[in-house]
Amino acid sequence: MPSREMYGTALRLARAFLIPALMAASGCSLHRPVGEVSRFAGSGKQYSDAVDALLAETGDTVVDAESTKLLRNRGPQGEDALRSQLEAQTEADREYLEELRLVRDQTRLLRAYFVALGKLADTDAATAIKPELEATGKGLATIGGKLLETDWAERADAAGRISATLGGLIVKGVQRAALARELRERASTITRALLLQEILLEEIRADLTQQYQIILDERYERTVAAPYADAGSLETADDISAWKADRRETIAARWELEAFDAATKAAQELRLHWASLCSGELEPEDVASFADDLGETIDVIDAFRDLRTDPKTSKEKADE
Amino acid sequence: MSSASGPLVTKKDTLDELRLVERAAYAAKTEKAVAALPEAEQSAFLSARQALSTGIRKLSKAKMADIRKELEANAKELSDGIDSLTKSLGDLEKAVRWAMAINKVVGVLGRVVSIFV
Repeated sequence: MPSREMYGTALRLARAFLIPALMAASGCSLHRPVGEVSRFAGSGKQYSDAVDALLAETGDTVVDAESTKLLRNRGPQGEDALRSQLEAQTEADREYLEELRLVRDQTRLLRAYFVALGKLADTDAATAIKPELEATGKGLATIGGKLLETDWAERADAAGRISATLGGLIVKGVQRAALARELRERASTITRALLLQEILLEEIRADLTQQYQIILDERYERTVAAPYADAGSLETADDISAWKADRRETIAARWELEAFDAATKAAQELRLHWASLCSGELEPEDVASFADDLGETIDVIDAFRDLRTDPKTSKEKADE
Repeated sequence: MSSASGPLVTKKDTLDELRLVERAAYAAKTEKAVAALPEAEQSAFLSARQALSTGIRKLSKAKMADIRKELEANAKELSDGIDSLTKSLGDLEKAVRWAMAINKVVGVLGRVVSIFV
């Protein structure tokens, strides 16, 4: 009766090799649920999208700010001198925009990494393979039963279910092992990439703060200080009301640079969460809270977009 | 980060100083003082101020290039990671496709066996 012997041998082999292999693949190599990797990858992708949008807006903002300064430096220098300074600034702006484009390429590469990580974490291969293996196991047991004239056919359903469960576990194990290997091998690379993002965002923030501050100073002088010092101004109730509004706005203006603060904070948190993920200490609550922060970042980026052009005074707004 | 920390710090210090000068050059107080100067001096001031802004833009670009080069130095590792993740995903999907193919063969085999047994 080869069938019984074979069945027993198969069971012994399974005990000896398959079960330890499954444990090694699924339990011991990745000490965190695949879902956490998936959520983290989703946050990483969201972060990369937000920073990419921010960098795109930065280019427009910088060029607008430089245009404002060019206009303020347009005096009695003569045509040649004016053309020359315009060309020099245009060349500098072009180079800056090209640099920004190259930086955005790197942010997109980081995004591509998070997308690939998410795809592997989210794959439903373990589920998809089950019905196939169940049907195969059942079919083989049925065929075996017919060929060898045993009672295997009666156990075909059970054989199918066992095949499906074991197959699903093996695929899940392979998936977890691949994720664990990736986290181990890329731990320092991602940490470094996120640290560089922080440095980059801080630098751009310093640049834009300068641009906005110059615009803000000019606006304060034009809409608040000059009319106040001019004895012939601010005579009607409407003028006074507009002046008060402009004064309030210029004093309170923070120029929405929170977008950069929020993005820098997001990069920091992502880096810390990455470290926790790699060491197996990341909790679902951490990712949920980070996702909330990221939502705020995206909100302030939207606000930042509205601010790109020179701000209008209250009077200009009223005239519109 | 150590490879670029030197140049980054130097450029940062220079940029910080230049930004302070630029802000002062665009301040209302300065503009008022310049407006009182003869035309030739006004022209010289405006040209110099524009040159300062252009210089700051170039330095900002150079500083960003330092960071970008560091990012690019990391890029190969990131690309390797993407390749590795994509390959792992492909292997898993291949396993499912193999399972489907084998299941089909077993199905056909089962029908053949049913005919002869």
